[in-house]
Amino acid sequence: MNKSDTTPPAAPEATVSFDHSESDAAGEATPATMKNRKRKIATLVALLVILALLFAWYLVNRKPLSELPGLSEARLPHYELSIYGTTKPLGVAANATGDRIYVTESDGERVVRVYDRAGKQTGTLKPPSSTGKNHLPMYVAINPTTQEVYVSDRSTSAIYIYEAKGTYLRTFAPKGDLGGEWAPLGLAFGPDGALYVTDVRGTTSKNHRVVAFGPDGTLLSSMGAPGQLSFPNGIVVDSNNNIEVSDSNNGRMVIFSQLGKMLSTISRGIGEGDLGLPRGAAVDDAGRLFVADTTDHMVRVYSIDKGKAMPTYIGSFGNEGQLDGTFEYPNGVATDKRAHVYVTDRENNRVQVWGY
Amino acid sequence: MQPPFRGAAHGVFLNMHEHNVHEHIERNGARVMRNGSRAVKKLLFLGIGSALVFTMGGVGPAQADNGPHMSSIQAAGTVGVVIANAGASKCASCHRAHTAQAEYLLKQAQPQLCYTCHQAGAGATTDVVNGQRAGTTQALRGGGFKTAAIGSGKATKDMGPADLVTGRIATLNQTIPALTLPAATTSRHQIDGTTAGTAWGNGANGSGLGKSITLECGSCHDPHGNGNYRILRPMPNDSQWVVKAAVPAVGTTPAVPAVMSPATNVVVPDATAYGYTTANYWLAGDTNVPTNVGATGGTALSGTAKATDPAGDGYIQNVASWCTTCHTRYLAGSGSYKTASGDATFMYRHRSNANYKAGAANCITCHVSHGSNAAMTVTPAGDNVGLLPGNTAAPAGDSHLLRVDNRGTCVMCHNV
Repeated sequence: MNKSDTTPPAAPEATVSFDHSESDAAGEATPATMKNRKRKIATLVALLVILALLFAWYLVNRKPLSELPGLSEARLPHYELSIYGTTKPLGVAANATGDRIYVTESDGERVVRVYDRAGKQTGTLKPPSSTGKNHLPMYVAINPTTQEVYVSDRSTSAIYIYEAKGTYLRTFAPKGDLGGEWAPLGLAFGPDGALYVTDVRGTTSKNHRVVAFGPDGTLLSSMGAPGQLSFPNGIVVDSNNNIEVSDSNNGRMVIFSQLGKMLSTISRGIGEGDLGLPRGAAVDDAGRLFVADTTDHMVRVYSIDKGKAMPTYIGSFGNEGQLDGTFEYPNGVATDKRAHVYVTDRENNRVQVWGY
Repeated sequence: MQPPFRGAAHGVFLNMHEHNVHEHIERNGARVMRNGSRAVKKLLFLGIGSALVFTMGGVGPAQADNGPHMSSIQAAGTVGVVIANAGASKCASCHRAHTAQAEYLLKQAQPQLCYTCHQAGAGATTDVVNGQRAGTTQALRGGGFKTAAIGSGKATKDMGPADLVTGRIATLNQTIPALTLPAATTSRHQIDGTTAGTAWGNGANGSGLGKSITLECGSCHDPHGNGNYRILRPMPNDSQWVVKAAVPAVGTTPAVPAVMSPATNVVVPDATAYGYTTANYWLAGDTNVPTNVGATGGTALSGTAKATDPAGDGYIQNVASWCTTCHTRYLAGSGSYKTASGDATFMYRHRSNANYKAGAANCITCHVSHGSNAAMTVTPAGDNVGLLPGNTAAPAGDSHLLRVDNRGTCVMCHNV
């Protein structure tokens, strides 16, 4: 090396290769690139929209994603919590959001207790003293058109009506000839406010029936031939507009059409989905029917299929016991629009809340 | 807790269950969550024999009291009974063959199982807990277990002219009105299945105050239905008439129970129409019961013959016999008030086997069967009036199932 040569050697040229496929010589994106980017953006936007819709759906319905419309409803709920502070509860009803839960109790003070969704009691429903001193609230239902709360009373053979927060309004006064005495027990409303009542009148069961009233209390019809029903308890109007009745002492569910024709039954027995002593009943907006099977200490779940009178058995939840998630003579059952199921657990003196 | 099917009924139950045609209903395992794909349950073949034969005194094996307590057996000698129609699935409402949680294969213990219908009235018109017919203010004849509607403080009577020859003053028109608002009971047959009580007077002369027993609804009533009034068992469980055979050791044969004979059973004939309520608790009889059903047979261990008063209606005729299968030494005939029985405690006794309609006393003249709200507030300190000698168990205020406050029942008949 020549000592007099002080010029440092040239650094080797870095080799940089450019992908010219996404841009032309002027550096602009190629049509293919643009198309690809647009696709990615569209996908991202679609995902965001879906997420937003899901979030909006959740905000409105407050239900788990498993309850999305279109997904199978053939599932069973899980235990969530128990509400205490009631004595021998029988009937239960909940408003759409589940922040008012009405529970009838057949012992102790024999009032209707009102709870919030955390299980804290917020009030009671009691008829005025003018209606008598001896009361025995049995079943409770909420009119979907007025939000008024209806309570059947076994001691006075009456139905008392309260406003949602608990103020007594009036005693239900049927319009029409009931054919003598009546003994209202189970209550249900159709979406139009029509009231369906199970009637256990008489010293024998030969005259037990279901009576339907219009929104104004006008007697519309009577269902159940003489001797057909025996202590009908819970009653619901399902998504097919059929009337499903717990024919309790006959150990079955009877499904009537709106015209009072008996369409099918879920029978008593020991097979899958068979019943022992059904009492309360409820439907949810996913098309499920819940039936409290009192002597089997569990709740049976069925799906109501469009156009089919006979529900399809899904399964049962609960078992006999005192621990969380077990029952001692469950009686009433109710649902809200947030995928909750409420069950009165009579001998455990509590209301259990299950959910999806 | 005593089993519900003891005594003759137990023997009959065994007879039906093991010696005739059997019905076993099985479920697999414990159930926490079910789904439609659960293992299939196996149903063992069973037939139903007509093993329930009682001394009916002319009343056929008809079924009493309606509802779920009617068995499907229509009459003895019926052939070709279709099992599916004979109530096979009804058994599963109350029984489990292998996973029962209460004695005698009951799914659940009494009385909660019974209260599912017989309290609040969701499944029966007789609310025996509150003592009223469900849906009404009408009072049940037997009172109630938690409350009763006996107007025990409002009893009245009329007094007739004095008979100067006999010295007696007639009493007429006795009335114990019913209450529309029930009151808490002050005594009851304790049927919770866990609290031991005493069957006062149970046993032969000299056997003490009585046997300790634990009662349930099924001790007195047969939930399967029979031909008796109020489906009363012909022989109440835990009465003195039946000694339960001990479970035999392996390789040995069981001992035959001491007395299990239809001759000792008591027929309380069924009513022709069912009337569960009363407006006057002095009128204990049920006019719906047929008359003159004949002798019941059998003899109480105390030597007093069972009531056979032919002048009474069937219910009155035999109800004292029925009650005294447990309260043995309370069965007393005419003259018992002045003739010593030979028993140190139950020495002289008020007659209890008569037709009260003729002016003489019967068990149910003074007592109700389920529970009474009569007040017992007049008990001088240190005075054990109403308490048996040596008995310190009866709580203060115990009304002993009497119909009138403060032992006013006596004054309903007697003028003092």
